[in-house]
Amino acid sequence: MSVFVSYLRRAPVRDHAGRRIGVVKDLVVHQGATLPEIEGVVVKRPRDLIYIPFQELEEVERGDVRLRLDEERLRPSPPPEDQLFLLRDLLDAQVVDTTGAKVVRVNDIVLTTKGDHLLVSGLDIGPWGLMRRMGWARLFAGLVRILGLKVPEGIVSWDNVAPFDKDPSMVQLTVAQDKLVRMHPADLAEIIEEMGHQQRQRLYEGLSDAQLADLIEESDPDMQTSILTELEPERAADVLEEMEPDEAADVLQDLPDAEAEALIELMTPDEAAEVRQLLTYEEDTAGAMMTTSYLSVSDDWTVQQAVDWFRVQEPDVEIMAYFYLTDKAGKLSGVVSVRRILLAQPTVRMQDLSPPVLYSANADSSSREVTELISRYNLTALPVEDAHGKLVGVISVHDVLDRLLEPDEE
Amino acid sequence: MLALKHRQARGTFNWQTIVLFLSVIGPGIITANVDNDAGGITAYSLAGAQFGRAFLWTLIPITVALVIVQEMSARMGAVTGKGFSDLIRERFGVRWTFYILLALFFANLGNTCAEFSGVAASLEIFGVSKYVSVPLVAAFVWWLVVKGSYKRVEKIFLVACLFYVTYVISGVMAASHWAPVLKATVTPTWSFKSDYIGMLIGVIGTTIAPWMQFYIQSSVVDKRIQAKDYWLTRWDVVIGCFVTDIVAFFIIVACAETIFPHGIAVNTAKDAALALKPLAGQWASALFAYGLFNASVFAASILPLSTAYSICEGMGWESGVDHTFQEAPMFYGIYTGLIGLGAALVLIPNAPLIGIMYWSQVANGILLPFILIFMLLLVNRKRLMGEYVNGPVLNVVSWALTAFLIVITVALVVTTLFPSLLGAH
Repeated sequence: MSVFVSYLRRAPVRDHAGRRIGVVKDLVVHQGATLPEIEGVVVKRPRDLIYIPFQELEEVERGDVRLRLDEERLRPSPPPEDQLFLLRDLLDAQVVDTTGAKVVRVNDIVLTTKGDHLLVSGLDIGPWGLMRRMGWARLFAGLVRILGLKVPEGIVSWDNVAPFDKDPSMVQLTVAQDKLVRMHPADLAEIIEEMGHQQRQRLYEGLSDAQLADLIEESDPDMQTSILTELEPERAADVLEEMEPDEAADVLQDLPDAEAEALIELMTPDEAAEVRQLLTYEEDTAGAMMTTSYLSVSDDWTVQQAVDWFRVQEPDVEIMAYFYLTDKAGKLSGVVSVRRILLAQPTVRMQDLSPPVLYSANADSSSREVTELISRYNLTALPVEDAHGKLVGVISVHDVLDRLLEPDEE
Repeated sequence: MLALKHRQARGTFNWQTIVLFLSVIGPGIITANVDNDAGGITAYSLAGAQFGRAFLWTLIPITVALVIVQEMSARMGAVTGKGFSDLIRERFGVRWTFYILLALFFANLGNTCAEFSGVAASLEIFGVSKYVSVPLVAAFVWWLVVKGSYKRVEKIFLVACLFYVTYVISGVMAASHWAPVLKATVTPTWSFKSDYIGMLIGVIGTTIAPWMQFYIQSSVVDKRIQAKDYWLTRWDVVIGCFVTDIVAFFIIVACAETIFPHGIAVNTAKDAALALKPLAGQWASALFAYGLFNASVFAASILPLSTAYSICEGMGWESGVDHTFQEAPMFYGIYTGLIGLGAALVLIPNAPLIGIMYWSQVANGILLPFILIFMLLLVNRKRLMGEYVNGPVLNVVSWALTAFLIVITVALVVTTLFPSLLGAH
């Protein structure tokens, strides 16, 4: 049996003898094994508020709550603090519908009995719930029938929602955290646009540095800087280290110089140096677009050497499809796709697998030139050299796509 | 400024503070400039033209009231990170929210209508028929916002607001003696004449309007201003309020010096433009038309959009121009409806324009007391605001202010509904 919370709100509460003792003011829940479980009812009597544990209830029905005992035998206790109250804390709150990755509002709450327990099984986020709350449910149902409309039910199960706290300073809905954390960073990036900063702050606490780095990479430029400034500087530096260096540099570029410098100071020296180097390139150049996360080996190695090196190092880089070859001076001398390596004999020298024509960009080529080059020759990645021909980075087609899709603000 | 006392540790004003300030500045100043929209310019012009300097003194209490009210909204935005309609929904439930947002819709429909009348009036000075100007501007505004280029154009609007400087110059040129002007500014006068009280209600009503509370809070949230940087936003709000009222001051002075002495009845935009004659001579009409046009289009770009956002947020419907029509049908429906209806009502021959303004005025009036009471209840809620609740002094002042504004708006609603009451005095 299911019942909507809107039908219980202000419903009369009667004792065993059928005498009315008050009305339902709120329902107190606690996290059960799977679903939140009703623990008791806050009843508003003419003079005071009392709390009645769920065990004392005999019947909970639409518009009616009946107790097991007579009023005289009740041992009234004050409502518990620090508990989740359904009406106060959950009804009308914002929730993330994690299946659709959108932020909606709780219009009503569905309670379902299971054995002796009453559980929060789902939330009504659709028009029916809204109409029920307004007291127009019948009118709406009639209208829908006359017009022959199809109005979706709009109830999502508890597993697929992550509610936000109404009063962000009061942490109540910790359950919600886990569900958000499991969302894809790209979906989460859209959700956080609609969160308040305290809600975001709480979310950050639930995310690992790596997840936070992913989230930043998926967010709009405006949001990226907001996230960094909302984090504690030490944490922000840790997260920057987790990010691809080029992404980190992009975000830092948008911060005021002093703040960016302060964060770089907190990073490990290696990462900091890399980011600093990337920051020296002008905006809209190949240098600013490229990543420094790619595979590079010496051009006189054999395929076997390269494969062994890869197995030992297990590098986890952004550009995984190519091995870039450099000579003794670090100059770019070739490129070999992973496909060719897999097909090649182990004794073949890497240099011999490299194609005769090698496309590359200069670190200060414009982003336009890069785009044209990648598009004309159907490349998936383009190596970047500095003024002396040294290999300094690689631009992937994703970087170009991001650039093209960026809103052309200012 | 009571509101300025705060326990928040604040940095000294150094170079970094200025950079930070520039990053939070905006919500207060934009709200203030939109406040001087078609309705605002009209009200101040009429006040100066009909009553000379008699209304100057009211600007000081109005500024204080405006700062108090706007500051609380901005503070709620910075502390909670949520919009005003969000907070009303979460605290007071769906019914209150629905009726308040319904009233907001009608109030802002009237306001939008007023902006389009401003467009029509200003371009008629240049001989452009309203049947051409209004649909074009409506389509332009709609396109501007839906295509997401509004943010860029906002700066153009803001720069164009420098037009108000012309009132300052004109006022300065027209006022030969400043002593009486300044004296009038600090000397409260009062009259129980019906037209005086009617005008007072009009001036207050146009300066402190319900939409501003929704708008300023949302823009603080949009800017992602955090509680720790809030003390800078407070300056943004204060500066904005002063800008609004300094402009109002000079509009009144200019009209009081140029139109009032000649006893000219201001019936059209051309008449109101006389106030700019000391500065612009024969170009006064053109200059006035340009200023009115900018103010009207600026407000017309903001009002429908902010209304659609507030309603959808409160009701829990998808909102935002980065969604498609299919994803956010209510949002686009409300937004398009406000612009479409607002523009159409101005164009319908023999349209009940007066009737619409009238009901919009009533909706604004009914809404304001609720808005203020809800705002005070929310801003004092410890669970929500933590240490940022109002202090005791601010509470006394703001509840008193709310009571006064309620009396004024009840008077406004009653006199709008029963105009004979005032006349009977």
